[in-house]
Amino acid sequence: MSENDAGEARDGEGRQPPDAWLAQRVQAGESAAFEELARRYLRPVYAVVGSLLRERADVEDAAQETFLRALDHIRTFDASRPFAPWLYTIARNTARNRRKAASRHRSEPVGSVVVAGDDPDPEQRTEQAEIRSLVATALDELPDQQRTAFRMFDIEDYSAQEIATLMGINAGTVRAHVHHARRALRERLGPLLGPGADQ
Amino acid sequence: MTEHTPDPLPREWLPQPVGPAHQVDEALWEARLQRLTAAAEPALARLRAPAISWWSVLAAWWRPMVSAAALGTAAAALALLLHLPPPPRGTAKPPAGTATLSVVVGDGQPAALWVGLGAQADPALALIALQRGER
Repeated sequence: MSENDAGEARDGEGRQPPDAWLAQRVQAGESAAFEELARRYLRPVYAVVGSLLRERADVEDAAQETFLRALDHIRTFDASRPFAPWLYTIARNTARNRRKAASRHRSEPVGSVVVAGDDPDPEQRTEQAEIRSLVATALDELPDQQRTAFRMFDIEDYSAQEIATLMGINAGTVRAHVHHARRALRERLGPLLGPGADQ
Repeated sequence: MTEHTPDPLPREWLPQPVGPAHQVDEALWEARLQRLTAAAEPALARLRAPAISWWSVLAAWWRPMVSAAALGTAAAALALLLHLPPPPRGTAKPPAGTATLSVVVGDGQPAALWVGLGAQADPALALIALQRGER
């Protein structure tokens, strides 16, 4: 396969090449294979680091750094094992390292942007921003795996199976993480939710 | 899990998504991808380059021509060493007025000064030494 057709590679039935095959091409330094893998996993990686970091600039940097670190260690990747959990581990560790240093930087938090036109009333908009801030703080207190599963399921709209594949766990565990996260958040935000907050 | 899973929180309370829900911002994702692939190029180039290990460098150096030249140089150096005249023995007397090693070692002892420098050391000392018959 030449340098520029890894992304176009399809078998006779039009299926995309498997991750392991692309990873092996990346081990040989093929740019097109790397681009194809990055295209597949850019959004999930952003979602993972976005679940662990609040600052938008940190999320951008950590997501890019995840792929560069993966590239630095690609020769240690065992192609007989799934690629996604390997990349997820790098993303999680990169975000954790960033989080340690995050207190030094203050910029626009992820999700703090209120979309213009959603709610024209300034008072309500301020209230929404405060609620979002409370939710973000409550999310920070969840264990990392719960937070990632919750974010990807409830915010990014990934399926439990997609999340499970990425995290290297089974779908039932993902649902359990989401269950515990929702319950913890509802307990924390009970007064905001009003009667029946535990439902 | 037999417990009822709580309903999701109201969407407007949650942080903004960065992934599938924002399909509209394709240009942003493309820009992120391009930035990433550009940053990755040096690492990919390193992966493409053949690995250089210390033993491969040694093997490249250890070629017949190189080893023959090294052996020739070593033989010439050995022959030169064998044919050099031996250094002169240290039996000659030092020039007059030169402090000998025994004077230095004697650390100012009169006898050592006398043996080393003779009458030049001190006339009075020379007299004492002569009287004792040390010279």
